[in-house]
Amino acid sequence: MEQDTAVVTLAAADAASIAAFVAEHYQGEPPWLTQARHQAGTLAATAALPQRAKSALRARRWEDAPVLAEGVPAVPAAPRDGIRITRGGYRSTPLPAAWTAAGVLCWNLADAVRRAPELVRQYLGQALAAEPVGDGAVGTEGAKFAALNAALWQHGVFLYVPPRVQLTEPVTVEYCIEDSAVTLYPRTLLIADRESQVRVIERYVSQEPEGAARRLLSAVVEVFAGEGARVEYNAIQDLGPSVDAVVHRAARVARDGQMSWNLGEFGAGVLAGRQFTALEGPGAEGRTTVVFFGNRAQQQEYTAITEHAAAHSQSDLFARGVMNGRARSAVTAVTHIRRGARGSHARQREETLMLSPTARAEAVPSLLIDEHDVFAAHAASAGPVEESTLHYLMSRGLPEIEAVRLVVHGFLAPVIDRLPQDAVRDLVWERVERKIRE
Amino acid sequence: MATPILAIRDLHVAVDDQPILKGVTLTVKGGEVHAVMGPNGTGKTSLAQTLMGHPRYQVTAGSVTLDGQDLLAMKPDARARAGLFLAMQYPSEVSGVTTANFLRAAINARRPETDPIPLKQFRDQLDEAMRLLEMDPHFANRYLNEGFSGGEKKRNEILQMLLLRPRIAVLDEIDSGLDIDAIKVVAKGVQALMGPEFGVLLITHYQRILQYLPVDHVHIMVDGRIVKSGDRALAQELEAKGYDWVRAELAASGSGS
Repeated sequence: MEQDTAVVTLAAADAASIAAFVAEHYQGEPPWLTQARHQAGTLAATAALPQRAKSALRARRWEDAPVLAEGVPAVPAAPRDGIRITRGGYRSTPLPAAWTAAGVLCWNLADAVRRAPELVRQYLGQALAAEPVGDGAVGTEGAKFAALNAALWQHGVFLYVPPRVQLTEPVTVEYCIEDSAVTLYPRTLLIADRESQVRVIERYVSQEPEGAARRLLSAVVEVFAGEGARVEYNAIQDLGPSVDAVVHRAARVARDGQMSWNLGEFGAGVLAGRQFTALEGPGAEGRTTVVFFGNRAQQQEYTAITEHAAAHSQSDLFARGVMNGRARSAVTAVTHIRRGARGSHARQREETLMLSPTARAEAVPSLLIDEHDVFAAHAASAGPVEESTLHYLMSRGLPEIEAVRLVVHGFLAPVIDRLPQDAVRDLVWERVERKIRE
Repeated sequence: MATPILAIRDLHVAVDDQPILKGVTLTVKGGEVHAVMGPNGTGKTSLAQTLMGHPRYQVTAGSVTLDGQDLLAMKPDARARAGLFLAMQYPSEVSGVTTANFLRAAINARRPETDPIPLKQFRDQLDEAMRLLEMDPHFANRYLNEGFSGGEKKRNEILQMLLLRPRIAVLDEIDSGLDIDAIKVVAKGVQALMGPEFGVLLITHYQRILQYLPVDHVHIMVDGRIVKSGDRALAQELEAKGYDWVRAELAASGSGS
């Protein structure tokens, strides 16, 4: 595999260099997309990063992040099952014949631009764009990376599920940063038409060559859940320490639609995750379950924003994580119940357990409520594992590592039990076990 | 297996550099039940926690051995595996970990990794111990001590003791907050293990539990020292005369200074 050679960092990537990069590497696309890339490139070059000391996205940490990387990567090896996406392309095992017959479209987004241009054009960027700016919103942190992805995305999943089609088997996607790759900009567009049902399981992994230089994953996932549609999204992030990851996820949920986000965040040097859920129709539901575990010098920032814009909408967020070593985490949840969202129901729960005195964790819950007739509750905590608890368990003969393992198991079991997929739960437990012993 | 011997020699302990124990000497052998009594705040619980190796208690002088092994050089888990057990006054609540799973892990920590206790055998032992202690079988599936009443926590400590079969058990205020029926159940649990291979160091503020256990040695602790030792009669004398009597005697003899 050819090594990427020239690399432009975030600090050096101005509008002109991004424009030149787009012009060189994204040829043959429809004019509307080329134009959208250039506009996004300009925004990416000019948008500021947060200056807040506590944000994992704060400017000085990202100046050296590689954003433009030359090189001709190889096409990925075929996956055993599902879809594999790398810098070099998109490979997939054939869709089940029944899905094709039912009208399900599942392609590389880069191909979908040509094969279903109207659909792509109608939806691309429209979930991210729904996030309100100002007016009680929490700001535009990460907008720079969302714009970078909009300018530079290469491959990703385009999945369209027609009305009333229910996919029983999950669609599995693996994003892999191979050892020759410096950057990866995947983009996923998931459209679940009315009363359809779909489940996706994503895995984010990287190959870690010895002494790997800093690398960047900037991913965007957009979901559109139509009326009465049910979308279950699962992701396990297991990137190596050389990769800094910025992942934006956004969903718009129509009347009686259900969106479920299920995330296991374990890897990456620095992770900045941002999730936005717009409950736009009456009875729309958003359910979020997050398990995270950081150790060594990992930094994890995770922000979940939920907008209740319609009556009787419901949201329920439950995030629990463990920080060990010198790891740091900040979990922010913002739930906004807008005027008119009568009878809405919102819950937030964010809890972090610190296993070492040098770990740091922050939990910031917030509820913004503009309507009277609603139920909203939040709970947040971040605390160390109690010395007396470990002593108690050790006093029964359990070695310290076993005592820690039991406490971590007990702490994470309620959140892991909430993950809807058996296979995902098993993977998450496996990661947790590994992290405890690392 | 030989009769266990727990030997405490001139033990000095400090918490946050404040001396708490000021020279405690005591030997507990298999087949014996020793009661350490004394007013609140004299170091009884500190003695128990120090024996088990709680990191908050710093040993500044003295020694503790179990069958000649230096306990103070061992981590709490190694002390437990060597045969020491502490029934804690305030057991921790551990969310998400069932009592049964915890106990199985604790038993397996005493066995070779390749030879965990068979599930059936474990279940049988657990059921039998719970029957003895008149505990609801559902109890084993509840999270360890979470939401337990004071009495349930104490029973759970004795349950753990029965399953782990220690050689020396330190029972720290196992009777406090219990009614007479519960005290009888706890005593029944302790009696079930009594024999030449099992010794007890009972720490208590009250005399009641002494009626139900074969206590042969009574020690009175005041201000970080054992100031008086005797047989069961000493406990009765203490009950009749109160701790002020001990203090007055100490002052008179000059040994309390």
